[in-house]
Amino acid sequence: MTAIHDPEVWDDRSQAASMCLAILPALSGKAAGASAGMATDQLDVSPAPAEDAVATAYRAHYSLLEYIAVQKFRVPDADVRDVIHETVVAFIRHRERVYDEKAWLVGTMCNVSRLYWRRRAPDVADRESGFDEPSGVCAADEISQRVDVGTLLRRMPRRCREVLRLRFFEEYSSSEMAVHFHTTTDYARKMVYRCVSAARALLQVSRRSRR
Amino acid sequence: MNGRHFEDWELLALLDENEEAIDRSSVQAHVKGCHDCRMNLDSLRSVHEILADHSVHEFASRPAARPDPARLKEARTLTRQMEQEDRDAETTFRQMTALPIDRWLPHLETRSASRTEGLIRRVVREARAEFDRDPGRALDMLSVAAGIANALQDAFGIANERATIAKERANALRMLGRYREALDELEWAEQFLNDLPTRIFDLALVYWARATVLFSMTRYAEALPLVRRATAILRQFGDLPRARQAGVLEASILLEMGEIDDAESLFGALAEAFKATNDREIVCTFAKQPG
Repeated sequence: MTAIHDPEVWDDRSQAASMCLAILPALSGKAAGASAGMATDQLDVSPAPAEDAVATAYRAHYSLLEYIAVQKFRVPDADVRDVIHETVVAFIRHRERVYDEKAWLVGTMCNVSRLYWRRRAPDVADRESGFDEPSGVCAADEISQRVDVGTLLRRMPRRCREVLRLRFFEEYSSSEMAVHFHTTTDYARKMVYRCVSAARALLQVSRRSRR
Repeated sequence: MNGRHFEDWELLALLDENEEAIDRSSVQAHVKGCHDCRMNLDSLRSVHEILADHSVHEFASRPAARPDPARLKEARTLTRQMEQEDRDAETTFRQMTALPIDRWLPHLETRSASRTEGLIRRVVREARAEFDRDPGRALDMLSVAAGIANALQDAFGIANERATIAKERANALRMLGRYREALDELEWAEQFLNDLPTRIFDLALVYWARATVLFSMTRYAEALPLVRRATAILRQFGDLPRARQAGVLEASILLEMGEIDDAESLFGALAEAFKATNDREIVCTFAKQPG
């Protein structure tokens, strides 16, 4: 097999491993600037005041809620924060009834996004009425995985991100990729494989770190 | 079987159906008989599928967002306010319980600051605790809760509380054998929920309550789809304990409908789940079920 020596595409496991180490704190909510991790991560076992728990949940699930509003329901950017905030306020009001914070927020975010369209454009809401039923569209795990991969993509080396975007988003063929990167078809194909493989490795490490 | 495990790029070539890069049939034959490579292929397939979702790339191209600090502060303030409201409600409720229930609303008439959602939550909690002992008294308490809710200023607050109260009134009415009125209350609950952010989750509780009323009325065929719908929603919201409790109703309905095998298999699965969560009381209840 031909070795790939492109500084912006991972070509060995140590590079992927060091990338994992660099991004994991951010994935687990301990990034610099974030005030605290989840309550269970704290050494101090005294219960966090409710307002701290709410703020932690707000930060921890913000990307997930944003993904639902923007990618699943096409809520315009200008209104995304309002829609997310309405969901968090509902969460605060119903906290004592919530068993699984993430799944509850995902389900409620889907409903708030539907309400958004029902209030502003009933014709759109009618078109999307199928969303009213519980379904894969709003399955927390499925959405969560996509947000994880999206977050990983943001942190990947620029070239790798571009490789994956062209291949999967722009749907370039291997030969089109080869032209774009001034390389051979075989090499372009292997660039894609390396980047998918690296994304998978990062995703596995991030999932393990959450257990 | 080929002696070596295949590398990621070869398995990805298999997913890509790329005949030029690999000998597809030999990779397929190996994967079929190799647990490690099969697991590896499944894992790569799941990432491959996620990467093929355009919305993931769109999302990645957006700058990472965080909550607006002003909104975060607002959320903290609301949480603190609700805690304070609950503490105040506890004091007010203690004063109310020194009076007969029919004096509760007059007592609150001159105390507008005490008529809060916190107080409604407290009264509803007390009514729930009263269901088994005295459903008639619980119903009286819920009427007081409705009176407090009607005087709230916030339209969403009124709808939210009235929906909860209607659902609880339906439970009390069912216990009193007033099934038709119980179903009417659940109609009201559904209407109050219409424009609320928590509509879908709360609808699950309404469907569950309606299925319970219909079960009491021996209208099993109508109750079954409702409880199944409730369970599906509860699972979607990650509320497995409530989903399992609703499952008990589903199994009981199946039993009454004569679907013995389905009932037995569902009871069995639920008993395992309850055992795993150490719910001994409900496991003992199961032991009393026929079969």
